[in-house]
Amino acid sequence: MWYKFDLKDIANLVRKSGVLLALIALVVFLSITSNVFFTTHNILNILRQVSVNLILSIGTAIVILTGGIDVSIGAIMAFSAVVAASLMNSLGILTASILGIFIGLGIGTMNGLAVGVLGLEPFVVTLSTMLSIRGLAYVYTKGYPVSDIPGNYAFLGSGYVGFMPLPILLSISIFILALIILKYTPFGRHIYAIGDNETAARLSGINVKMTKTLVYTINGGLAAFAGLILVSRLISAVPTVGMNAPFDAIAAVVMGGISLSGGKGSLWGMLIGVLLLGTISNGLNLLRIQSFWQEVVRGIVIFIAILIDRLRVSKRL
Amino acid sequence: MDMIFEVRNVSKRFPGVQALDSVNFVLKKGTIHALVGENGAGKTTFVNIISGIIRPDKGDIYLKGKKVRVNTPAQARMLGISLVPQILNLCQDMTVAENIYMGQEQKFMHKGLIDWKSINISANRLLKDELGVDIDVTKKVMGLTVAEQQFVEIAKALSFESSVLILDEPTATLTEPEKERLFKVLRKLVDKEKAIIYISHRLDEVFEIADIYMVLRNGRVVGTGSVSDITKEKLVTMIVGETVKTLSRKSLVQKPNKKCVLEMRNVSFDGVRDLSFCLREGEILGIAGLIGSGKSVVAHLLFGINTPDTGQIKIMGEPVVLSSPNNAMRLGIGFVPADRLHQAMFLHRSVLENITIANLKRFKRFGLIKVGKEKEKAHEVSQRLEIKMSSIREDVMYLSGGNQQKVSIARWISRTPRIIILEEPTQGIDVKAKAQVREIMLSLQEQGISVIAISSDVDEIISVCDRVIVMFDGRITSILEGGEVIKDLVSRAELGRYKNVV
Repeated sequence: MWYKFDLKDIANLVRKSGVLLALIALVVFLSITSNVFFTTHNILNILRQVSVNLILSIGTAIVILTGGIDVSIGAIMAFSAVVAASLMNSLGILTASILGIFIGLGIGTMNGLAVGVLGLEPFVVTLSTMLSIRGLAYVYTKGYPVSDIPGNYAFLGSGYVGFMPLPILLSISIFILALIILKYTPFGRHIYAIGDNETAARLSGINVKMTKTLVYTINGGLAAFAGLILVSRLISAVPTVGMNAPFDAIAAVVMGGISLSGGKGSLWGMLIGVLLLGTISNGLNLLRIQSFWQEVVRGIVIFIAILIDRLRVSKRL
Repeated sequence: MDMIFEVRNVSKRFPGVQALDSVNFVLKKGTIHALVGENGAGKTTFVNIISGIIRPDKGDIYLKGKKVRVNTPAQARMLGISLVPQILNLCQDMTVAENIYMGQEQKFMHKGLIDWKSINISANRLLKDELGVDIDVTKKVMGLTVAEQQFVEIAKALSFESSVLILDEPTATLTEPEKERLFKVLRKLVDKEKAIIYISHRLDEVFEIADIYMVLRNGRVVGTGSVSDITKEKLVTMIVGETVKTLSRKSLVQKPNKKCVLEMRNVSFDGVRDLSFCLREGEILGIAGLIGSGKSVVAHLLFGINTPDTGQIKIMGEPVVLSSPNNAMRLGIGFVPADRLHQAMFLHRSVLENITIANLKRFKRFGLIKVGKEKEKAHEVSQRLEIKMSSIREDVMYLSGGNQQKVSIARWISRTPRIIILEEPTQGIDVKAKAQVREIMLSLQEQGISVIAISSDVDEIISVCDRVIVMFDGRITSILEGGEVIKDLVSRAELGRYKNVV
């Protein structure tokens, strides 16, 4: 088989990643301080909670690997979710969901064309997308949540396959698919190549414009899909959903060792980042820390994690 | 005592390689000390240590008899040790004066604000009096030639009152007259009792400018002494450590009536005008010319980086439009650019991925890359080109310049193209790698691949090329073949002193 597991990447991670160390330390700490933490129920709970951020982080990671950034995914989530949710009764669940994903793909493509073809600065492009698409979500809903959603739609976010919550299965499938694409398809190689050296990529015959555009398209689609899962879990689509989404995703990606300048890092590290963020939230809830303080702690933990990483890397010099 | 700088017993180890092994080095003021050796011999490591970029594992540095610690570049500069790097890093959008005194603005404060007038005055004094060059200090660096930028770097170094100047391959991108100007500046600095460490692959220059030589090989000093006491051959033997296979000038037997694989007809673009020539099947065609002659534009036009304003390009007799590199590749053209680091290498990717990146389609099945087949191909090509690496999975950034260049060539060989264009194929690589790259070019020819070699190195041109096009001021002024491919004619044509094409 051509498909082999990324043992080298994983080994690297174990050896070098401060974030993994932080995650392990946190797990040990919480297992000792809380008797609820290390139970199957709670672990599955964490995994379900992180599955939306995992999907978003995958899209964000591939954008960042090309040397770009996308801060509009929260807005894309919200807009595609409210539109899809509002049409579920008239169009049916499936059609409305597909429409939602196409909205995400479409907005993502606009981002992509602006960055890839017009050559505009990704941060500014997606910032303006974020503002106007979030605005559209408000306009479309007049600011009210869409809660008239068919009851069986809840399956996507709250359903189980066997004992496994569906969102976990979906996000892990997307993760594996993304791993394969990045490692074993020309498209994936091109993503890394562009992030590493765009000029060399162009001179190696890579269609830089198209690859860059596609990366944002995919990110838009994944954002819409994540939005659909979130709506399904809440059985309500609020236009304010996903305000922090791009930043959680970027935090996970960067903690995972993927360089913001592009071309460096693997999805495995990002996965650890996602798990760390999820475990922090879960742990803080178990320890009954007030939610405002949770934000403060999260910020500090992210900082410490990347600091450990940096210290370990520089020692190797 | 006129010995101002000394390094004792410096060693440095990197994972898998002893980069420097107990190196001793003595520098006297008012001298130029040439540091020579193949790429990977340890020159860069040595320079990085004395300029504070990396720290040695062992050894001490003495300045004017006192033991000093050089832990950061800033510290080195304070001690009077300044590096003029190979790749100049001036801020292009700032003026000459701003660049020279960057980070030292506090010396020119007047009532809490920077006094630009006095900065300009002292920058001007530095360039004129110390270096003897005339550059408008209020001009942006962007508009300067490479040589002028180098002078600015040197002036910047002098602004720190440096007594030790390190120049890393300063002439790599200079034309002959520019080089002379640089040497004049260096001699002037020597008169002012500065000590200069001069790194170069060009041995002629060592004999022309340096007083003392030191040869590094595999991290050790294998020889040092006065330049006047050694011959060029002896120096080469010391550097290489084994006898170099001398490249004999290939047979002058023409293979007549070969058809044109590629043809340019009256092509004009930007500064180049009216280019017409033909690349014959299976030949190595050299394109010579000084910097600014337009020779690199030819490569850009043939690889679809630029499209001609007027004129026509034909491949196998068919008119084509080369609108992008991708497009040129499909027509069987490969391009090895001069600027390896910025235009060819994916430094953080493996040798394997660097080799196959332009050829992934070939290994694809059902949308996925067949890793086994890919690896096999990369192995085959890298063995053929004798790429030295610890593993094919090693990141390309850990390879020496010569091996990186081979990777760059391997990328195109793995596609088996019809035409390969090499721009400055052996620039900045060591003697042995140079010979190897030239042999690779000859072996490409044996396979029937047509090669265009664009080079500033006349020796290289005459040692590998069947025919030579010489450009001067944006035009083709000579096409030399057979017995005309000799150094004298090429050099004269480069200066516009010889023409056989009207």
